[in-house]
Amino acid sequence: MRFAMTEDQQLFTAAVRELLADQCPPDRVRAAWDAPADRSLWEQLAQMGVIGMLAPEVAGGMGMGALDLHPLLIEAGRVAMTEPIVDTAAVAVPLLAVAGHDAGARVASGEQTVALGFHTDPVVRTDTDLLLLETAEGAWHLLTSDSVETTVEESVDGARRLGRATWTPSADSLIGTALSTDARSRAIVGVAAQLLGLARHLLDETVAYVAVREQFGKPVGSQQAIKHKLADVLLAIEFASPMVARAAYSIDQVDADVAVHAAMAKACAGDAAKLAVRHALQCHGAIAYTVEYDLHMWMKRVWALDAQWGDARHHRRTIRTHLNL
Amino acid sequence: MDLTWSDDEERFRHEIRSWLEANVPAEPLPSGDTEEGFRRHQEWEKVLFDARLSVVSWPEQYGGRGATLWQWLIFEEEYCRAGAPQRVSQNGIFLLAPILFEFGTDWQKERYLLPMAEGVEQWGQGWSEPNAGSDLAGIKSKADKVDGGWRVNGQKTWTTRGAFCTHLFGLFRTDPEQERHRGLSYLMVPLDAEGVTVRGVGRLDGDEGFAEVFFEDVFVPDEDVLGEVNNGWGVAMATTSSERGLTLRSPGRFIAATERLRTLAADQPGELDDRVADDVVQAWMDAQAYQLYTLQTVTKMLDGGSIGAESSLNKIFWSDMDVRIHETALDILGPLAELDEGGWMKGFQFSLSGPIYAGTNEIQRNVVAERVLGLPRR
Repeated sequence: MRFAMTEDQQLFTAAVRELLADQCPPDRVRAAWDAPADRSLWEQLAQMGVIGMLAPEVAGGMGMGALDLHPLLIEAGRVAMTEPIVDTAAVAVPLLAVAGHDAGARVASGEQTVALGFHTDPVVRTDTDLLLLETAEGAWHLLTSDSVETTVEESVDGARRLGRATWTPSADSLIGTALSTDARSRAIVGVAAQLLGLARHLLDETVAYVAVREQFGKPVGSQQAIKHKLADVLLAIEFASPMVARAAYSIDQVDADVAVHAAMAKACAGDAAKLAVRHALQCHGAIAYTVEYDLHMWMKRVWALDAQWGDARHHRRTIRTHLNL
Repeated sequence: MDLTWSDDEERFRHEIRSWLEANVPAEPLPSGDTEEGFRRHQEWEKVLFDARLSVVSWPEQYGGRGATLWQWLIFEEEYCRAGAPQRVSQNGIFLLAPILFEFGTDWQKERYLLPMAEGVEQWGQGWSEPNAGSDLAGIKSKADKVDGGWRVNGQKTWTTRGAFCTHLFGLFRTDPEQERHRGLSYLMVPLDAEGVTVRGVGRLDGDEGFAEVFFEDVFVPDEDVLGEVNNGWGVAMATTSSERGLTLRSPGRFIAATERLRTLAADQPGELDDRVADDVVQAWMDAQAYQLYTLQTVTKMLDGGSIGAESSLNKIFWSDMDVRIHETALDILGPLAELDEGGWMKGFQFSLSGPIYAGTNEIQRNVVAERVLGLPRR
C-alpha cells in the first residue's frame, strides 16, 4: 500500500508547471477569447512528451498511464489552458493506440489535435484538426474537422470554440466499437483533474487578494467569515484530490469499478471547483464581477467543465445504481 | 502508487476478521457511557487484551503486536465492520499513550501502559474548564510546588466518561507568573486521590458519562508530571493533533456507518426519494474520500513527514460527515427516528458532539486559514 506520487512523477509535474506558468499566462487565456490560440504551447508540450505520454513507446510515446498524466492535467487546469489536452492527450491518444489507427502517431507527436464527441454531447469543440465521435451504438469514428459540418454555438467561456456537429458515420471513419467505457472514464477523470487545478488557482488568487485588500483598517482576510469560506474551499479540494488520483490509478489497473471511481472523482472535483468559484467571487467582491479582472475566465471554465460529461448530480446517479438504491 | 495489500497484510486482516467473528458479542453491549455499560465494556477490553488486540500498534512488551500503521488501519476497518463494541479505553490508548511513548520516563511507561492496555485503569481528559473551552490557554486550574510534588486546585469539565475513569490527564498552571500557553504542565492524576471530587453530568444523548472534576489541595508527586515542567502546552498539542488527526477517527468507522446507511435506505419499502438517495450517495462518497485521504496521510507519515495543522482539515471533514450521515438516516426513518430505531437518533446526538470537541470546527477553520493558507491572524 502506498498512496503518493513518485519522485519522477513529481519532478515531471514541476517541469510542466514551470513551462505553463511561463508560456500560458492569463494574457494567453484572454487572447484565446478573441482568436484561436497558436500552436506554440502545444508544440512545446509535445516536445516534452506530455501530449503523447500515453502512447506506447514504439508509437513515439512514453508508454505511461493515466496516473502519470493526471497531475499534468491539474497543472493545465491551474493556468486555464484552452488547448484540448484532455480530449487529445488523455483520451484520443490511448484510444487510437488501442485501435491501432495510423493517426495515432500524428496525434501523439502533437502534429494533430483531437476533440471528442460522445453521442450524448450536444456540442463539440471546433478548434481541432480531428474529431473523434461516438455513435449512439457506441462505435467510434475519426473524421477530419473540415469534413464535419458544424453550426457555431457560443460558450459562456469565450475561449471554448464549440459547435453542433452534423456527420455521417462510414466504414472508412470507423476505428472501433468496444472503446466507450474506457473513453468515458478517461475523459471524466481528465476533466476532474482540470477542475482541481482551476479550483486551486481560484483559491490561491483569493488568498493572495484578501491578505492585502484592506477594509476597516485591516486585511479582509483577517475576518473569520472570509477565513472560514476559504478553509472550506481547501477542505473540498484536499478531499477531492485523492479521489481523482485513485480514479486515474483504476484506469491504469483496469479496475472493475473504474466507472464508479471516475464518477466519484468528477462529482467531488466539480463540487469543489464550484465552491471555489462561489467563494472566490464573494471574497473578492465587485472586482471579480468584472471582465477586466482575470478571475472570470477561471470561473467560466469551471462552469463549462463541471457540466461537461456529467455534473456532480449526474455522477451521483451512477453511484446510486452501483449501490443498488 | 500501489493500492493493494501485501500477503502479510491480507493474512493479518483474515486473522482479525476470524477472531472478531468468533468473539464479538452477538447482543450489543449497553452504552459504555453508562455505569453498567462501562463495566461491561471494560470486560470486553480485557478480552481484547488477552488476544493481544487491545493496542495492536504498541510494542509487544506493553501488550501490543508492534503493528504497522497499515495493519492498524486494517484492524480498525475490520473492527468497525464487525460492529464490535465501542472502545471505552480510547482516550487513554489513543491520546495519552502516544504522549507517554514520546515524552514519558521509563518509570511512567512501566507504571501506566500495561494497565491501560488491559483496560484495568481508565483515563479521562482534563482539558476544558468552565472558562477555558476553545480558548484552552485560558486554563486556571493550578498546581503549586510543594516538597516532592505539586498541590493541585481547580476544576476541569466535560471529561468524557469521567464518572467511571480511574485517572485523569490534563494541563495545570504550574508557573503563576506566566500567562496563556506558557507556564503550564501536563499532569497525571488518580481520581481516587484525596481532595478529588467527580460529579457526573448527563449528556445531550441521555448518557451520564460526562463529568466535572474538582481538585482541592490534591497532591500529585513529581514523577507524575509528563514531559518538562512548564512545557505542558507543547506536550498537550502533540495529543490534540492526534485527537484531531488520524488516531481517533479511523476511516473504517465511516465506511461501516455508510454501509449501514446504504442498507437502511435499500431496505425501505417503495421507491426512495431522489433527494434522500442523493444524500446517501454523497455520504458514501465522503467516507470513500476520507479513506483515501487517510491512506495518503499514512503514506506521508511513513515517509517521515508529519501532520501538523492539516490535522484540522481532517477533523472538520470527519465530524461534519458524521453529522450528515446521521441526518440522512433520520430523514429516511421519518417518524420512526424519534423512537431511536436502529440507534440512529442516539448516534445523531452523539455525532453533534464531533464539531464541538477537540477544538470546535470554527477554531479548526481558523487554524486551517491561518496556518495552512497563511491568512493574517488579525
